[in-house]
Amino acid sequence: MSWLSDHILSLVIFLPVVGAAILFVFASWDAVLVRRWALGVSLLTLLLAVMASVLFVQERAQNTSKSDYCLVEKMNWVGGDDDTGARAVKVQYKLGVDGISLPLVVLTAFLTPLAIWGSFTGIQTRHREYYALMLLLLGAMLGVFCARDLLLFYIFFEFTLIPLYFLIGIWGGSQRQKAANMFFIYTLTGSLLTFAGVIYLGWKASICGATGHVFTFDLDELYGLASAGALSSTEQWWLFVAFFAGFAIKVPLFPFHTWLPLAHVEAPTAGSVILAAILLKLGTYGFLRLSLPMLPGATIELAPAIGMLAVIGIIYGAVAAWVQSDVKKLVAYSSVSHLGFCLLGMFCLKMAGLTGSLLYMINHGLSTGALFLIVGMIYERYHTREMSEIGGLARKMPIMAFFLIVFTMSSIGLPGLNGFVSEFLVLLGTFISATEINSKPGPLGIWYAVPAASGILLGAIYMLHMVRRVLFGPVKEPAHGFDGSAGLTQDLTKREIGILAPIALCCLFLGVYPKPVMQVMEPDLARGLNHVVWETVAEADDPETTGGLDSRRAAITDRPGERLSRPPVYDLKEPIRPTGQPSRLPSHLASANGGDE
Amino acid sequence: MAHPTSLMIIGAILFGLGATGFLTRRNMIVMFLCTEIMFQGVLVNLVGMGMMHGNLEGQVLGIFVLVIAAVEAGLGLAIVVMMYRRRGTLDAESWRQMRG
Amino acid sequence: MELKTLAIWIPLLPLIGAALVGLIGLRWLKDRSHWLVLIGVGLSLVFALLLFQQVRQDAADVDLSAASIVLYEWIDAGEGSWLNVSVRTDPLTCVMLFTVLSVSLMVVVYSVGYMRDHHGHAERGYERFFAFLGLFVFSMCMLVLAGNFLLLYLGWELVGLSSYLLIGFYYEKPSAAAAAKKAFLVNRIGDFGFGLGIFLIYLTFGTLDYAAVFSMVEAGADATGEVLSTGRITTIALLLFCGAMGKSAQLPLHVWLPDAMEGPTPVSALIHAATMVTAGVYMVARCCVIFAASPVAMWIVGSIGAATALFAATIALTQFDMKRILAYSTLSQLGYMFLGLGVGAFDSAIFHLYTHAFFKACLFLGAGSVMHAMAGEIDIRRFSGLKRGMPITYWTFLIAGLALAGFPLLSAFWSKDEIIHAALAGPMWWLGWIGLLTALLTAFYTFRMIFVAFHGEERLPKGVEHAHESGRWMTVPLMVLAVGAVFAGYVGVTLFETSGFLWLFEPEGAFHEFLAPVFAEAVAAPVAHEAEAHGSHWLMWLSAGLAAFGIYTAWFFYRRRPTIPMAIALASGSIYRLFYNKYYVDELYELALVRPLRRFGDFCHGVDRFVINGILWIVAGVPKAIGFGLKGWQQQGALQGYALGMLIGLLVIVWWVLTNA
Repeated sequence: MSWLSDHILSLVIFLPVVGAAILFVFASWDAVLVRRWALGVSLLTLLLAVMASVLFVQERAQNTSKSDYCLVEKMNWVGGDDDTGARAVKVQYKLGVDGISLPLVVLTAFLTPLAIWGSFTGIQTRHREYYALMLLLLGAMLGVFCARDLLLFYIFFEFTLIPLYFLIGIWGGSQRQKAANMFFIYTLTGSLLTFAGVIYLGWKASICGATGHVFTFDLDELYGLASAGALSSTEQWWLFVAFFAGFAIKVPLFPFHTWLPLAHVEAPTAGSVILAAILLKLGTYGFLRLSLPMLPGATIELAPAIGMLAVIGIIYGAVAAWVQSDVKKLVAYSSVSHLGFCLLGMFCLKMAGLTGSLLYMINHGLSTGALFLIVGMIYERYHTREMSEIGGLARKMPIMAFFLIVFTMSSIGLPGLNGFVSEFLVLLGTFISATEINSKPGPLGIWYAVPAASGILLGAIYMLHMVRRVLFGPVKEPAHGFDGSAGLTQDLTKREIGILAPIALCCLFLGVYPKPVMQVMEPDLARGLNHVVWETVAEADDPETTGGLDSRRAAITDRPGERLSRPPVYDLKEPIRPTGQPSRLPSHLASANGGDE
Repeated sequence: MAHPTSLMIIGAILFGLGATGFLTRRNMIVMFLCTEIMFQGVLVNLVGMGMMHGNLEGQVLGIFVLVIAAVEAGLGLAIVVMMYRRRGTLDAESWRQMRG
Repeated sequence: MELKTLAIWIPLLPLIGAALVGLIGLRWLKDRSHWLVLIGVGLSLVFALLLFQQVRQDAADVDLSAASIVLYEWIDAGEGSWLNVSVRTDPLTCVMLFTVLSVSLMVVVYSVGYMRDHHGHAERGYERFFAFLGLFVFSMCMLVLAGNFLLLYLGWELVGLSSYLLIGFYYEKPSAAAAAKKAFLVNRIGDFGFGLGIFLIYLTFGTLDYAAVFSMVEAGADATGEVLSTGRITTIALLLFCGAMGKSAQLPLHVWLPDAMEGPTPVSALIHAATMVTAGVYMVARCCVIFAASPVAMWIVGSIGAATALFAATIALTQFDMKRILAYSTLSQLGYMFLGLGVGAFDSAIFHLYTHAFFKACLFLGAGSVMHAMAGEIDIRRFSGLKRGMPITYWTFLIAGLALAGFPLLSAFWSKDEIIHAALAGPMWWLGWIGLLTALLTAFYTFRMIFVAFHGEERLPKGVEHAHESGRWMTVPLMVLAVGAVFAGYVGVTLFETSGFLWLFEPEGAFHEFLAPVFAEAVAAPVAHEAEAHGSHWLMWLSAGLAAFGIYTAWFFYRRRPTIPMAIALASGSIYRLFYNKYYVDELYELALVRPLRRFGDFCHGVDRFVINGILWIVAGVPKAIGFGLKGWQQQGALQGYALGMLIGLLVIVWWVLTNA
């Protein structure tokens, strides 16, 4: 189309990066100017992201198949298309968004300006570095969601660690060094294993892909590779574990969550907001983008285990949140519980669950992000987050109380606000997972849903406990009282209302009328689920036509280094229907799937 | 016309000399010069490899590295000067802070 | 107007009022905040009456199995199977809307007077109060208008939220804050079951729309056309009933309701007596087809209802706080309604719901009027003889009290008798006798309260100089509701039947006819109580006699021989203490549920800190130990030592490459 629609994603990603660089060029800028610049750049990024979504909708409306990602931008980065015969590496700078990533891009671009705006009074030292790091972080996060090349994805994925490491390590609380180190090493350890998986996939593509002997990381080619059944169940299993290591720690899934409360407590407000709202979603997004479509066999095989961990996480996070005395830690543990829902919905492999899961990412970002902002606002006034030291703030800060209750209700899934829609869909999807309602049967079922549903009760327990301690009861303030030195008034200032009000409006809108967002997501989720996951599995597991996945893979890969004479067929339009008993499906699915013919 | 093998032998000798010098001498300037000698050994090797393959890529890379090495030499010497100013000696043994 | 337009505006008007009050109340409206909500609720009531008119006109050709009116598509449950925001406008909805909105209007009017001090200045948070009230009316309208289970759940949770906010209205009082939290959480326990029920409905029927689900239940088939098992339908019914138990405070989830009296009295009248707590009754009646298909579920509903009725009445005998007595009486009356539902008398239960709303709201508002005059004191031991100072309050309270006691010809007499009669006629006849026993207790504790508080010599709490009647804003609603308490019952009675009770009245009137299509499918199945309803007037005489006896006993105990109650209390020692301490249910919850859960939380937190982080520490310790070991002999800081190491490494690699090439 136009130049803009060809390069909009690069603009979105690199505008904040350039903005960060400019901060250092003009060394004479004072703190006020630096803040304004950072806010302006991030707002401009938001504007571009909104434009990108408009263009996306237009482009998709023109594209009749409605099945591909849009706003593609492609450039060779390392290696190229030369066909010299030597084994080469091809890494592309390839961007594109689909219905799965676009909402997350918009969420990122929406929350970061608010987080930056929220730092105006909280950050008192090293303004230039702080805001530059925030902008860098913004660019990196947007890059993760836009990347359509696995290596590019990984680079952005890892790059997000660096700004946040410094944000926590420099502007954090008293234990900031420990928290930053733990956060960095923990997540890095996991994602190095993921990197091994990434390399393996590239290598796999080089020996049996359609591209010749080229290490490729192009997601489309890797999807094609996977749907052609090139990965054996053992390979899938190991790759899944490798991806799981990186993503589950990032999510964080029980029992890999212990870095999260520490990092949250020590991080500055904006760091917590971004961490909870977006960085955790990188993990869930990774599962959704890589594990599910590329490793369907292993996904189905391991879904019960992950479902179990998710359910444990839901309950465990909730009860652990309840006994916290630090408000921020409470909210951090609530994230563990919420992200459990998110993964549960994803691995029930039902449309309802997947939609719910993706919506959950957004809704959790909004409500938990806002909760962290509010906790930060309280902290700036009273320099404490201990629930035993503050109380009855509804009297002193009625506007804050209003917002806190709104986001609490959103967080505990009150119908009419956003949290409910996603929580309901996740639980519904899990509940009907084993049945044929709405889509093919999935691996989970009612026995995952029932304990998970207790999360709606436990969530109310700890959140209302917090509300009661902080807002209700007689007024209680720490001995040193309210600190207005940063230009704060007792109740929220106009700036703070301006930060929270848009989030609250989004919460309300997504709760009352989520249809537009759902319609953006669904075609891509449905494609991912029905055409990639189920048909790949059905095709690969069909013993009569191909002798099972393992033997077919053997036929492909027993000649290492030898270029395939005929590339695997990537045609998804004519899937081979299962004719026999699928071998690796759980028994309760097998009959349902067999009856589907 | 030099043969690639001889060029590689010369490269190996240069590298070996440099490495030995680096390990045995204490004067930082000398040590630094020794690293440069190791560099040159590698460069000669590159050129020899390029000759062996019959293309110019080795020489291109050699010149490229040479430029970088020049920059790096300036930087390195500057560091040595700074270190001399700190301690008043060029003995490498006087800097033992790099303990784990 | 079209049904759809009406159905949209009925909930929306109070919401708009509430939102405006919330936005501009604090700054501009201040103590005029009530007007917007008052107008919103008033207009809503007018619209509800229009809707009623419309539905009655269409009664002949109304097709209840038709799908609900879809407003818009809300949530996609996968592959385009949208769960809609849809409304259902049938007679049951009309009855509920009328009940809810008329009581709401009265309560809003009353609150204008109540939420002020004696000088007419608005209380702190005046605008907040009315905004919450508007939110509640919106939620309740959504609840009764909902056309599918999901929207029902929305209304269900939103009334819970309004209740939470209003109970905690005096949030600075720790007891109010605790009560609000307790109410929300106990409701959530019920909602846990309710939610599971909704999921199970979707799992079974593949839809959440009332009409579709009910028609499938009637046909006895699930979504795939297979025969529906009784076990499944019983599970669904019981899970739904869990929600009803929470919201309508039935045993054992009743604990929140007495505590909820911490809220302002108009709130207790509206939410915790007349409307919200009856949502459970409404829901069971709405799902009558599901419940009727499961005898086990019906049995449980009826038994729990009867048990709650008796249980709460016994507690009410011993309490001294006027509002708490009324709260337990509400529990007891809700028990009656569930008793009615359980024996299949759905229309009678709704009839009782409808009459109960008026007289109970009147009683609560009367108690509020007393509280207002007594400067917040509500313990009946602290005052007496208010009859002279507060005549309007007294007379309206007396009328509503008579209605509650089941005094003949007043509203509850008709509705309560119908329920007891249906119970006696059915297979669970013994529930009917529990109902009769409870009726006796009801009359006794109601008049205990009236005689102690209003009769005798005038005695006032400290700081109150004289009992004064409340202002016009408060007395007018009292009178309106008292009229309702007397005459509301007559819509369910056929007049001028010479063979009837007192040669004039016959139970089962226009009200039941109007509701008949809703319950047609369900009532036919378990109990055919209608046939026997006529011509058995002995029960009416009996219950009238019981009411009179209860009132007489109360008079005898508390006016004639005031020493008797004390003597009985002393004589029955432990039983009295059991009643007075509400059967120690709260303590039981604390011991059996709250503390273990809290311990479990501590345990989890401990696992985090020691077990998981301990494992991490060990894992991280391995490289650390190796590094420490190496440091001793290698890491000496000598640059050339490092270089030598590198060179050796390089040589090893070269050697390896060369030998393996």
